[in-house]
Amino acid sequence: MSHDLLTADAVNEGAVLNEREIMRRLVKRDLVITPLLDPKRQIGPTSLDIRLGFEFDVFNITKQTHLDPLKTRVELIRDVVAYTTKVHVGPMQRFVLHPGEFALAATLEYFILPADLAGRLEGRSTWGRLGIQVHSTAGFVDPGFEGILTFELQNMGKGPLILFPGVRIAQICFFHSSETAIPYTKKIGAKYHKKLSSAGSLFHEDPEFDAIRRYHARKSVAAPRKDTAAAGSDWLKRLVLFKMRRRPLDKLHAKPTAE
Amino acid sequence: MFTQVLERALRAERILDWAEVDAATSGARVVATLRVHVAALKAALFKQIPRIIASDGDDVAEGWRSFLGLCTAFNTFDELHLKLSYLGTRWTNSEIEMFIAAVFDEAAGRLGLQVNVSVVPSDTYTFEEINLTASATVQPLPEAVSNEAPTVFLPKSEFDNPLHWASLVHEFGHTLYGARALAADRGPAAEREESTTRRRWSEEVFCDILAAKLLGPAYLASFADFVIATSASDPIESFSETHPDARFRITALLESLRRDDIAARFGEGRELADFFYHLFEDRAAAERRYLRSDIPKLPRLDFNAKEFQHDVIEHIDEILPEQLRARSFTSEHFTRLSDRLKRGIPIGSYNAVDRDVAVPIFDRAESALSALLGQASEDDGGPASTESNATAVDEQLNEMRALVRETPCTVAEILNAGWMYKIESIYLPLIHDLGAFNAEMEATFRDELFRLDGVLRVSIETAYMAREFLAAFGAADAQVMA
Repeated sequence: MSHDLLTADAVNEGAVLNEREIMRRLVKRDLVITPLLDPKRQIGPTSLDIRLGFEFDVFNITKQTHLDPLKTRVELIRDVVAYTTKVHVGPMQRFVLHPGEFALAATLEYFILPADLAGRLEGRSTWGRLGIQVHSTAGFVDPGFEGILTFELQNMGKGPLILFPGVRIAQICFFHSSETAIPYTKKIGAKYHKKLSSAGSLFHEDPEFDAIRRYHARKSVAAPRKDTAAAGSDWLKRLVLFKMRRRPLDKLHAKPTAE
Repeated sequence: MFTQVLERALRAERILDWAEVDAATSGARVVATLRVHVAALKAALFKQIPRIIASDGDDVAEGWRSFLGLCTAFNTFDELHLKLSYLGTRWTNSEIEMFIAAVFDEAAGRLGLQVNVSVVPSDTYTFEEINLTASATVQPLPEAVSNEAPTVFLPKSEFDNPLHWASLVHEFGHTLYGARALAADRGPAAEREESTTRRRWSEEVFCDILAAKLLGPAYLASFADFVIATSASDPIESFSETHPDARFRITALLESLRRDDIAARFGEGRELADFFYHLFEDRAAAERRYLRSDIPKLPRLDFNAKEFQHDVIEHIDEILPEQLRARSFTSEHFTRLSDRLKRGIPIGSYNAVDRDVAVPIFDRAESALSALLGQASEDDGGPASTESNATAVDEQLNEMRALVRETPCTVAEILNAGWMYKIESIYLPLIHDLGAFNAEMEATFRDELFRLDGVLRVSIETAYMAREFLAAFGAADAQVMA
């Protein structure tokens, strides 16, 4: 390979960046990954190891039956708050992820990706062999993203895993693309920009739910929607009244007795 | 003083926001009542804005009204803070523990002291150190159990504000002073010669200067910021048997910083300690102007204040190792960190090599590496291999790695950068546009304050962990080399 090709960024769009290309971006402050404490161990041939941060979101066992997207945003935010607990784990302190459990966690690193670089989050085999997954489905990082990333941790193994902030739990690789006109900062509806801690789902902010809510609001004007308990008691009352009303009707139509 | 009181009101309001999320229906009424209190406080505060602007034009009557108005607003905040006792509380968060570990544990360790201090949230708006003891135990404690719990109180509303954690270092100094008494160190003869006032004040001045040596101008900023927003009934030039007046203390701090040549410089030639010293003087001048009769007269000291300050500074210099002391902060370094703070990037670590210096070095190393790889490839007649010149390849790679490696910040760096950024990007823009103050500006001020709190807290923890990790990486590398 010629020197020109080696010093230029990955020539083919979509090609994964190697260690020198990653480092060149970092030196030029084009790509920001901080803290970067141990490049010797962190930067591999085509990836960079990233660390577990201090914030975790664990899911509670609550009295809520479900998260209802049809509720108002304020109600939903309150429900989401009740659904998860934010756990802060200080340096050198432990967080235990039990088998089958799912938790959100923050990366220690804060990232700024340029408009021509996309990232892909992957697990490290060291931890994969113990049964840990660092993301369930959302491992792609858009060009222009700024903030910490959120891991979707799951322990698929048979034993509890003790995790500490700062451990290299995952890796990220970078792909070159031609410069996008809509980096994550400018993407309409970007919800997880410039976060400093793990961010729970903001699914209810998707405008599709506004349309669904409006539809149900229109329907509920014709037949007002009531909460389950109240609706239940109303239904019972109506049923009782109905039955009480029927009795005289029955009597009215009752066959005359022998008397 | 307006920004200081507004900041305190917003911090109290935030505690109510948190409480509201947790509150049951009955508790929500308490929160709602306290919200009315905050609204009244803010209304009283905003009423002062036209007066503050008028007093800038030397309108004495408006100056007097605005000064008293701001003091009254602070009193309202003070009362509100006491009422926070009705709400649930949190214990120390992990960031405070890391802050203490980073600043104090190492200092205590190097001085050969074992001091175990607790930090407790306080409903009164004061920083205080108390040795809690069980005074009336029903049965005596076992000998192995100490009945002493040195405890530092941190106001609830400052729990998430790392810039005011600097005052914790002063309070921790009291336990250190108790464990290694200044007078005892200098021998009983010296103690006998001292006047009572001098001996009593020495503890406070010792703690102040210790905090300034460890944190640099950030401690002075925290102390002055606390002092300038106080009640009119508590003049800042008042003193007590145990505490010298604030002017005495600030002068001692400035003297200590100047002797060590420690400064923190930021935009337009400003210096952090000078900035707060001027704010302090403004407040003192307002008191002298408007409350002349209420300010107690400082008694004629039976010792030389300069000599006294000098003695305390010298004593701390003797006992505090050089490597623990804060370093000067150049404006270039501040620019580097403030750019990151502006973008919301934590400053737990930073790249110490400037971009313009790093890029040419990197390019040279990369060219050399490419040549080596090309050569290896030709020699092997196959894909690029590094086997034939592994050492040379490693050298070039190490040079490139050194250019991307980050250095952990010290706590002193984080706090000084935080204060300077807060003044330059949060306080001053609000003051400059005070005439146009509206709800939107209040929201921006609040968001910026709390964003900075968050970034600084993450930075403190990251820096602590980074230092611990780097020590381990160094040891591991040394083992590999061996």
